[in-house]
Amino acid sequence: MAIPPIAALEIGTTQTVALVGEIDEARRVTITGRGVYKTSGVRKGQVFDVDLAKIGVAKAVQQASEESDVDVGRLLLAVSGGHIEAKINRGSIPVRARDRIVSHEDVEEVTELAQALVLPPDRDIMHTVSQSFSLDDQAGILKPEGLSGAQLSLDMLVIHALRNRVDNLRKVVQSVEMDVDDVVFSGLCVALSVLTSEQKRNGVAIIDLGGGTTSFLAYADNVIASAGSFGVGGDHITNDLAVAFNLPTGRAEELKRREGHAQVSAATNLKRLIIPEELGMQERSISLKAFHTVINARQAETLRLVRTALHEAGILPRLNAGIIFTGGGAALPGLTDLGRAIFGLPCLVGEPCNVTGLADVETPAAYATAAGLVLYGFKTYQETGIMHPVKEFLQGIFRR
Amino acid sequence: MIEKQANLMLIGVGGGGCRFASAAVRAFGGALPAIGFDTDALATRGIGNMRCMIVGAQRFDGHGTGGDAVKGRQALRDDQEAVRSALAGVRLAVVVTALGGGVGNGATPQVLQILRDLGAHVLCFATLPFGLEGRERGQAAERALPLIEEGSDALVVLPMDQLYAAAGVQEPLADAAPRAEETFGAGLTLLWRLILAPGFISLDPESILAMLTQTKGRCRFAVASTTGEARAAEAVAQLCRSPLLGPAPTLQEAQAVMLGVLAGGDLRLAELTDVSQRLRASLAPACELRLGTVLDERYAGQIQLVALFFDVLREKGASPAADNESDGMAEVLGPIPGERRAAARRSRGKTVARQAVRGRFKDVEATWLNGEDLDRPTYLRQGIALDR
Repeated sequence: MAIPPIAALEIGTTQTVALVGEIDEARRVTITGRGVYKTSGVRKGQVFDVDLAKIGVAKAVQQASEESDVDVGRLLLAVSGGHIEAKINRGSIPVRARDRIVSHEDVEEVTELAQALVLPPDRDIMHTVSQSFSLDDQAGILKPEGLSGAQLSLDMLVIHALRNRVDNLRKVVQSVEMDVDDVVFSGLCVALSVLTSEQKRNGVAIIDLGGGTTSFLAYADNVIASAGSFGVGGDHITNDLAVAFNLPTGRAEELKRREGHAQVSAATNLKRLIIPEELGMQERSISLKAFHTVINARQAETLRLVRTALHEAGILPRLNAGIIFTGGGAALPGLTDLGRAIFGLPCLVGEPCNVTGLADVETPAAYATAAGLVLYGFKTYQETGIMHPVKEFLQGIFRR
Repeated sequence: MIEKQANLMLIGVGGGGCRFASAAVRAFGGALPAIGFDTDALATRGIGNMRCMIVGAQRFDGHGTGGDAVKGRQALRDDQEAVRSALAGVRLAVVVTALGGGVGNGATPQVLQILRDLGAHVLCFATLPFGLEGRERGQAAERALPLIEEGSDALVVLPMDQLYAAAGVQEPLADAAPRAEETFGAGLTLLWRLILAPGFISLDPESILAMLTQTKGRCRFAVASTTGEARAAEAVAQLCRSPLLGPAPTLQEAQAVMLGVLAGGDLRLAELTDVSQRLRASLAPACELRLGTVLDERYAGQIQLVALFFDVLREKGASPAADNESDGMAEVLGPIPGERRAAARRSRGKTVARQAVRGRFKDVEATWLNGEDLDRPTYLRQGIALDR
């Protein structure tokens, strides 16, 4: 049976991105429709005005729907924000058989136990990712079934989020009369669309620099070993610039995009930026070096937050494939050099390489989350067969 | 002297770091407050002249980490309260670590964090592995550097290849290691002597701390030792072409230099002037040169030089001290460990409170992390002065 198209939505702080993807017989996923619209009513990944936020959703989905010629009624939703946390939870059971050989039931039981992290009542589990099993004092076992031992343990990475923040995002989608099939952590989506299997094997961290949030996800030994999100993003750089130089936010954003740089160079010592007459203020100039200093301070601090999280998780020394940046913030010149200085690792800007159909976009890194969400949809559909991604009809019916 | 040393501590981290620290203690020849941290009991067994604390013993049973930085970090974390107690009261720490191995890479950032929490100033010497040890070990060392650089007030990076070249090592390998350790230890000891037994020109802990608070990131280190008639000129020449300084940046790029001169009672004022003038001639006119001397009869006939070259200084007003409205130096050198950063934090609080700086985030829930509101501009919270 043909797999129907999948629609994915990312309600970012700066822009809302909707993508429709289709899979061909050779299992290649192609983005056939895309829609992008400026977001309002969202700050740091949190909805504070549903009516404003739904405008962006309606417009973006409409564009994607028209471009792909697919009537989108259900979709997958990416979630990010400082409320998303990850924790390693350990489940441990005695091996039941008399001969102490681990059975399939033992593995299932310990998996269930490791997944059952007790959370505060306002939080929900989003994803669980098995790390590795331990049998007595032997750690790092991937398949324990058939091995002998007395005590079987499993470490599970549990990604969880505040329920009301996720519900508020759902409400925005529901307010434009669409259903949400599943919500997925944005870091996971980015990893799906950008990372190669070799990078995952070697150990890699992906950092998605959004407008209001910065999400990260790290692979060590081919397993997702750490993930998280901070409520700090490109909007903070803009705000810092607006405060530092007494600029309207729009002007600060425009200047950041045009003149921004993540590092401070001696070459900018004497250069000045002209700020045109605006909102009753006369034309003036500001130091380019100071402008870059403000950006550098914020961007370096944000990257250090991620570094601290990776360091605390003990993963930093295992990232042999380095750091990959995605999201709108990845377009900042000098970012990879700053990243190298902070992480001591090779850094590069990633693009959604595991899908086609985004070759002509100006900043493919900004589509990495939504493209990964489409891939997540197909992956889930292929594995379970129970997704109803766009409409619960055959493709021929819901084609316009 | 003991009292004067009370707030100073030499700290070795990892097997290599402990050996270097031990060599400095040996070269010092007296009681020098020093401590080492390692997981490998066997590696530190030969070090009898300083205390070596075995960390992570419960986890690793006194064995090494096999080069795994994660294990090195775990080991230090397992015993961090004991480490904290051992370092309590330290005001200026000189940390020596050999990067590339598990404890050096993994435990050093943890030790620096503890020193930072205690409010101590840190001058860190980090050696990089020999080129022949392989690319992987070199890369592992490079990866640890950013964390170490940020945890230190000043960091001196010494590739082992350069250290051996500076020691003029020609001996068989077995003798080469002690020789290189000796060269490094002698330089480090001279720094210590400058603090504890100043001679004609004093370079006290306050001067060194003041210099460290002005610096930002890495600095370079060189030593020289000469005898004979033209010893002053030769010592400066030797210092300036020291392999420890590396090929770049040039001395002309140094923003500040701290120079220590160790000699016997026969040191003449003209020689000291000669040393100062010759070194100044190699530096940029705007470079600040601070000089200190140690006179010790055991060094009669010799001149030993040790220099720290600082390539980047904080901009005026950009250091946390500059935020304070009172005497910056007094704030920086507050007598109670922990005061400096506490003062800086208080000052930042005042600065920020004076301004409505949440901007577009004023209506949304603040992002708090470690007691800081991340919605407030970073440059304000960090006290970075902007060149308008």
